[in-house]
Amino acid sequence: MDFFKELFSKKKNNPREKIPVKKDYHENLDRIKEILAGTDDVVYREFKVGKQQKMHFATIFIDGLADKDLLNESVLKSLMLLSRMAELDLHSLREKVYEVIRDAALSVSDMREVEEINEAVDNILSGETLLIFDNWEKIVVIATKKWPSRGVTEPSTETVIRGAQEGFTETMRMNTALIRRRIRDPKLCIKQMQIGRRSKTDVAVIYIEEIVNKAVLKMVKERLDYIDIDNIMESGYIEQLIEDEWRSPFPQIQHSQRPDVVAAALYEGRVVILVDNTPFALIAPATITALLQSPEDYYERFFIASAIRLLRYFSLGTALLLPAIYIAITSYHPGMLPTSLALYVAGSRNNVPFPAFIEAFIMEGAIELLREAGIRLPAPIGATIGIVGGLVLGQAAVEAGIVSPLMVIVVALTAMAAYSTPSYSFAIAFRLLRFMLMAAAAFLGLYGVMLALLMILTHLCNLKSFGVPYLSPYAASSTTFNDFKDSFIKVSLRFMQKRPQYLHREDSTRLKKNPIEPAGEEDEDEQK
Amino acid sequence: MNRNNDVILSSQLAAILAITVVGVGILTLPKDVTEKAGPDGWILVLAGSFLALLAGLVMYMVVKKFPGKTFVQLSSTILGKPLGLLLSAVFFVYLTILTAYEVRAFGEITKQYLLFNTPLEVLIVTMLLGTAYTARSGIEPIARLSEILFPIVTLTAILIVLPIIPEVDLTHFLPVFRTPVSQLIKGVPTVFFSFIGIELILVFAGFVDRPQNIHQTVYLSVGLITFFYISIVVITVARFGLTETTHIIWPVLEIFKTVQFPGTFIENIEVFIMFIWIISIYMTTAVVYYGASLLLSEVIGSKEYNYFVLPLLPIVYFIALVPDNVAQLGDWMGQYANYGGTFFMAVVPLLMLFLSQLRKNKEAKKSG
Repeated sequence: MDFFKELFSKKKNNPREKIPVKKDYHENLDRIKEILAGTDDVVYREFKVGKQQKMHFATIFIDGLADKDLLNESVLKSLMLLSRMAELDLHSLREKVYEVIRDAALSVSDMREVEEINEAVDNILSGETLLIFDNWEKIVVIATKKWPSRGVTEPSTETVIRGAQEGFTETMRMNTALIRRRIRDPKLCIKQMQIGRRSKTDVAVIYIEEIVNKAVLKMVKERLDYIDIDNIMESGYIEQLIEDEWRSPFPQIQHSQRPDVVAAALYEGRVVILVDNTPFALIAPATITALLQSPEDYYERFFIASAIRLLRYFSLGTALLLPAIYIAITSYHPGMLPTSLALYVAGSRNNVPFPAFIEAFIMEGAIELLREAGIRLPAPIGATIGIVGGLVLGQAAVEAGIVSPLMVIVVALTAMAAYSTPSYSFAIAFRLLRFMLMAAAAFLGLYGVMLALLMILTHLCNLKSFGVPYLSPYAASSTTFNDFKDSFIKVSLRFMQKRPQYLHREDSTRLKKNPIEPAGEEDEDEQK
Repeated sequence: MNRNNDVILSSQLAAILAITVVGVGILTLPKDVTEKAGPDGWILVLAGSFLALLAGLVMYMVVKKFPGKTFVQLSSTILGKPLGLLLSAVFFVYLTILTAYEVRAFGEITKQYLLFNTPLEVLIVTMLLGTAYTARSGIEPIARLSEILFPIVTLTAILIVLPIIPEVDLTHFLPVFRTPVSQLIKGVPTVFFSFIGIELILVFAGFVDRPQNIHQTVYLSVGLITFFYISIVVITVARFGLTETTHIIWPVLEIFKTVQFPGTFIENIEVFIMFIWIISIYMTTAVVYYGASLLLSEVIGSKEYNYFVLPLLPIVYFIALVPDNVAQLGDWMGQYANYGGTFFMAVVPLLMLFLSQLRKNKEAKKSG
């Protein structure tokens, strides 16, 4: 906890002094130029307005971040040309310039005013355009944000066969729109803030007012307010700064690139954190069930979804344990296997010069290398590496007698099992723990494996994500029977009337009325 | 640490107690019971369980009067400060030695069945380090662990027992009541002492969110343990017969050696029983270890119990290595269970109930 204290040492108020906007146009302009002295991508466009060209006006914006078309059409054109018809120089209007401009001259949909220079500068830097003019102690901010951005594309990290194919992008505004499209509820709250002393990254906390777990929401807000860091590059920064336990390999905040996953989490009462410049949204609290499910589970029929979920738990066990069990059995407990199989295993390992532990380490290390190389290499070469690394090396290693063929099968199965976990960050935690278990198996056989497993389980029982036990609903005092309907199996949607109880929310009803049964005639008779 | 707010449910306490009590007792129970009562061992188990239930209810009546109180606070209130502290210190020593014996028994059995060449010391130290990790994490994680592991242990045990059922011969038990009643009564304490661990109610009651529900904990845990004990006694005797059961050191492990799943991949099923047994003894050790360090911190008056977990480790380790061999260990454990069990499961709760009642009457008189 000291770590947190150090890190979140009381948030200092912005040390910058406040510079009020003066009435004098030139003074204001000079102040802004002074602050932005080193930035050559700022455009200052000064012009004069009115029949006698006596009023000084200036627009200030950053080239590339502001929408020039909008500026030309709706601001400059109307001020420079159209306002000439209005007698702005007239003494009677002189005091009301702002009202006239706001009500009659600027044909833009979104504008506001600020009274402080530094705040105005922040607005320039985020892509807005400033309009300053004579005799007015405020600065008009015109919303002109428009920058090059990627369109909505298919999320590459979380693919589904069935379900929405759109994913978040790097622009937060687009992401909130994607969420809003799925939740047309006035109670959907999007609270925005800026984090990062220098980067001033936009961060939005999103939740549904009547459903959200209030305790979690409070914790999320508190921890976000505590953050005092110079920049936020990606939501991973936020994740690491607000998670409960940093000494854990397990992710305590879920992340997703899919708006439907995020919307479903909001409907369950979780809190979502969106960060600008990254397509990955954070979902808190994360529980083990949430990390082991795919959105498809809810779209497919429940028999299939349940079977696949069981398969996932099984594959998690395989990914974690298989190499360790291989090491333990071959080096400590060969008597466990049926005699014929034991003889075969011994025979296949006959020419292998290494103990099982070294053999397994070589192969598991190789597959980790292959995986890493596969991610980093450009796509066309990636496939080649797969073939060279996987097929050629594996085959050659067996033929050279460095590893046994059984070991290759074990490694391949482990790799496949590890890939079937939907959450990448959860899967890599298990990748790491696998090596720990292999070491335990090498030293103490199956007893070592059990011991390490029990310690991992203790750690998992100990973990909480924003006050919610990580293993919910399997082991949490607030679990009810209802929560098991959506755990290692998933019952039909018809029976999932309640939202997860372990999140303790207010409005807990999900499904109010079951669909009409295709009524047999007997039923109707009974009703009569 | 404030991360865990240290509140458990009465059902979670039942899971903790059940998994703790079953740990060591189950291995030798069939042998002990058959030595004492022959074919009527199951009656003995029932009678002993009834006694344990009564003991549990007495503890419930004591802790109910002091909701949310730790053992030291509770005993200091009833017995006065010096005596209360002394009793807590004795309780701490008792739990420490219990931890040591359990770890030693674990080491002996693992060496005999799983890792023949690994030194006993290594087994004991690794087990202690693992359980220390669990003990350090606090009551809530321990409760969750028990909640997850208890069903796993139970289901696996039942699955493994299923193939034995065709081979059992229930005629070993017939006719019933062959043993004279006096001999039966003499045997009852043996069963009562295999409920060692239930006295932890006194220590953990302060964590339960609704102390008035602890009697449910008692019913539930004693019921589950009795079910376990009776089934294991019946199956062991029915499979091995009376004489064999008394002659094998660990009859329960031997019985699973005889299990053959037809046409399976794995040949020696006793490895699976070792799995679930490692789980249960791990939990037993962790819970008792936790209880010991919690009591120590309470006696000293420290708020953080987990500073005391690791310093206790070498002490437990040396105590564990004191017995020379398995036979001596078994002997000592039996004796220890007799004296310690009588004291903490029967004498202390009864005394406390009596004294607290007396005190209450006094106060009632004063105010009245």
